[in-house]
Amino acid sequence: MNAAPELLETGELSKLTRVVVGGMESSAKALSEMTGQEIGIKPLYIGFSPLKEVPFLVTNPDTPVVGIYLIAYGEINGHIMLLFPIEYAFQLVDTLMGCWSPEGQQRELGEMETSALGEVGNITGSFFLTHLAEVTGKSVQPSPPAVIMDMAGAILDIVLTDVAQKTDKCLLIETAFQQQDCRIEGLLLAVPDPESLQLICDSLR
Amino acid sequence: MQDSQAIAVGLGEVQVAKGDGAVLVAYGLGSCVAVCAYDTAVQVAGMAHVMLPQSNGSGDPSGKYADKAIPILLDQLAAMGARQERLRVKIAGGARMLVAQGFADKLDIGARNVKSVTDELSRRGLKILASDTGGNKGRTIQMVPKTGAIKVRSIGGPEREL
Repeated sequence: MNAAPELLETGELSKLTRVVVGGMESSAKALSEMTGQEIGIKPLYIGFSPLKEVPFLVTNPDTPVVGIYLIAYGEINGHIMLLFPIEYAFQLVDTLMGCWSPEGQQRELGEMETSALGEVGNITGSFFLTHLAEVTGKSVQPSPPAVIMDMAGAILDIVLTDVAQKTDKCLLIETAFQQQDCRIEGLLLAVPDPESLQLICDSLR
Repeated sequence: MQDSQAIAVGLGEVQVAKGDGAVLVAYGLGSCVAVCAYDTAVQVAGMAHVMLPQSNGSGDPSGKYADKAIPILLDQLAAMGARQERLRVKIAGGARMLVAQGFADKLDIGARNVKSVTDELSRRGLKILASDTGGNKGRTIQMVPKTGAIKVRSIGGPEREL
């Protein structure tokens, strides 16, 4: 993980990292219960990135993915985005529907698939934000999820154009979900608003 | 599919290229708009990757706002020998990525970007010759500096000439 010494003290960043990892563990546990499969997390990156680098850091901006987007709002505001490579998203749907097979089943993002993936977003977002609220003592909750299948860059525009109205850099928290046999992999991006980041850091002192 | 011969035009960036130079590509545009301009006579092409409609007096000089990006693009093209009266301008992008219920209309930043880009160009007497905007699909836009040819690609659809 990369630190961002110019904007956060090392101590603050490591406290923040612990909170994020705690939130992710809580989400992964809920996802494990939901899918009946052991899902772990792998923290990849926490640090400040220029906005224009984010699509390249996360993946190739041209790559087709499924994104599950939630707005975090309350005393703490920000964005949560889950990104799954398309084949993993459909495998996740198959797993949730109890019809997983090595060849895969689902290939269309219909109403049922959207709803199943939205539920993954709900669970992940709620558990992550509940943990954040508990640790900071600040209120925060997720919006209903939006499920989108498109190029990663196009989906990330949702988050980045909003952040760009306030700043050119954002704190990017990137974590991967991983099943033990690596069948399903996904990325969770949490991007707090600049004022909320300050609030989170202050409340961790 | 990232082309090794390509210059990526990132968020809020402006890039220009000449003749046999590398292809200009804006990858995976959602609500962002690619403004493409080309002068046939000198084979100079430029592309701006606009993120937001208006700088609203912000001192930020970057190309992320339509009202800042277009003058930057025109200046860079002029510096490469392009003449404004010969420019052929085309735009693509400005999709609405969030169509799920419960997400407010104000999030339709794509349409606002397209309007602002159109207004800024027309203020400078520049007409848009072709456009591929709106909808709710992401786009990758590729421009060949030698010919000014522009290709637009979305997921699940054929590549189309703009």
